[in-house]
Amino acid sequence: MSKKNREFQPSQNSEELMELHLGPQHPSTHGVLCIKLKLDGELVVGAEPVIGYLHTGVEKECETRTYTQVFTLVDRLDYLSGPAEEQAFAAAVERLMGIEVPERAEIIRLILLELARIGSHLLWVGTSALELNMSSIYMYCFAAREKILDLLEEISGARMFPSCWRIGGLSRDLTENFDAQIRQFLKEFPAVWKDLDNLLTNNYVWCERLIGVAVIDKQLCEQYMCTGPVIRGAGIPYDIRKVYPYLGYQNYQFDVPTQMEGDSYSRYLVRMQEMLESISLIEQALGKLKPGPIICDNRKVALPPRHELARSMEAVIHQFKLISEGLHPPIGELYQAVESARGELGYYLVSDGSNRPYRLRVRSPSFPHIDVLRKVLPGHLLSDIVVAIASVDPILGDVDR
Amino acid sequence: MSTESTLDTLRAENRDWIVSDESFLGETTLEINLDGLKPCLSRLKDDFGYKVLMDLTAVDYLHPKATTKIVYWLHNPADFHRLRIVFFAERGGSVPSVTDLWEGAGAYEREVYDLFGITFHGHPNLTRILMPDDWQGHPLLRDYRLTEESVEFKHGVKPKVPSEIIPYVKKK
Repeated sequence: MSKKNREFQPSQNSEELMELHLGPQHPSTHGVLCIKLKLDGELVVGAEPVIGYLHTGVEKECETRTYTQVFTLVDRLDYLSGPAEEQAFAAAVERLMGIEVPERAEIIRLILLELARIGSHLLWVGTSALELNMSSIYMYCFAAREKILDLLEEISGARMFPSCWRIGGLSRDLTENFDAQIRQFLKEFPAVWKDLDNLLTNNYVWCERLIGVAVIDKQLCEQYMCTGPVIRGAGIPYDIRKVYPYLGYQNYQFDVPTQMEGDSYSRYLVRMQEMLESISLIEQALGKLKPGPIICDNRKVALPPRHELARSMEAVIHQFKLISEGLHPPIGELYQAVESARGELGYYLVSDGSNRPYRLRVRSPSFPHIDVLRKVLPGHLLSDIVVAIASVDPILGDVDR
Repeated sequence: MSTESTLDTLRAENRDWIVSDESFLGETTLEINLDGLKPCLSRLKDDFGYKVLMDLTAVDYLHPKATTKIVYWLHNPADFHRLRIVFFAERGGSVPSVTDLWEGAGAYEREVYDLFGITFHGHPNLTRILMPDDWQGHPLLRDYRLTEESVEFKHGVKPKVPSEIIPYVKKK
């Protein structure tokens, strides 16, 4: 049942409407988002999202960088799921060049992606609860997310943006401690999840504030290209990992959780279930992990191992060519999608055969989710706006690029 | 219906709309001329099930001919086939808007207008979306120079131009 308030009829006299800019300096807009609201008392009668405050021109900047340099730029777009951005770009180039990624690298990539998904959903639950004044949940979520950041640090040396993706594999292998550390995390996480579930799922305040707010149904999803938890909350089991599998997702057992109502509460339930699915995916991946190479041995693509440089002139030449010039994918264009924590993240890559992308377009999942708010918000009370914005989980770095 | 049979049907019906089509790495690209753009998109949406416009973007070219390619990336939610419709527009030219087919296309069209300078006639509110409203130029055009902003307190320092190394277009 939609919570849209139909009892209040908006007054016909436009002089009585108040225009209010929510944001861009507002703590609960998840970044620098401005929403121009038209208010009739407490009732929202019009809403227009204004974006662009975080525009960094990454797409233009990528045209000036070699393919290897792009990684550090793109993972800062959606700063909560950097691995997904890197995977999308790497997979696009690898598909264009026809490179096979070694199995071990694929599995480690998958573990990183799923860790980032859990981290992103934890941050979403925490901040959404904080906006409803439940600050203890925020602390629980951040304490759990800290473990994930530690794991990312253990793998790559960086906490949020691993940047360890390379065309054809990964830059470094897992450390010795990693296995024990991630198993510890997998052991502890279900209890944390259960805590959150106990605190929120049947919480009276949480349910009252979320149920029926910001209903995005199937038709709206189709019109506005919504993906990810938004479309799954509306009852459509659309998940890139199932539909266009990458990294061998077709070899894993996992479900795509869906809910039928399409409101904020459904999206909350979907995200909570997804965390458990990710945990199961990581466990399966750890079971498949076998020793092996972590980057392909094509010397035109991947750097030669360090120890070869002292012995082989050929390795030195390859090293020099790759570092100074980079790699040259063939001419062509393609679209590569991955499922980030927010939905379909697509990279449209146009290559002209040179060592830099001719055009790199990022189809970000949050962009349509912000745009759909203009249809969703009118009819709600002002206090529901914060919940509605939070429920589509926008990351403004991803929206504005 | 597979992408191939969709294409065959379209080809049989309207020979003059389709300029060319090619398949690369499992993705089908269909080039459409101006007359066929709107009818073709609405036909694909209504009759062939390509109900979702997953992405709308553009690519700018200077060689061999200065033109901007508008790219529509259609998605069929029933069988998950995808189709790329491209249309070569004049640089800074005008293209019919598809906001009447997909409401959500409005934001994407504003983005293309903002970054490439293509106007979409029939769009309800075509303004800049990412860049500031008073911005000059359209940054994703290939001949738009990427420059570093000079820092106020460092007089005498010549701003670097990172893009001077790039606009390198292969001569064919």
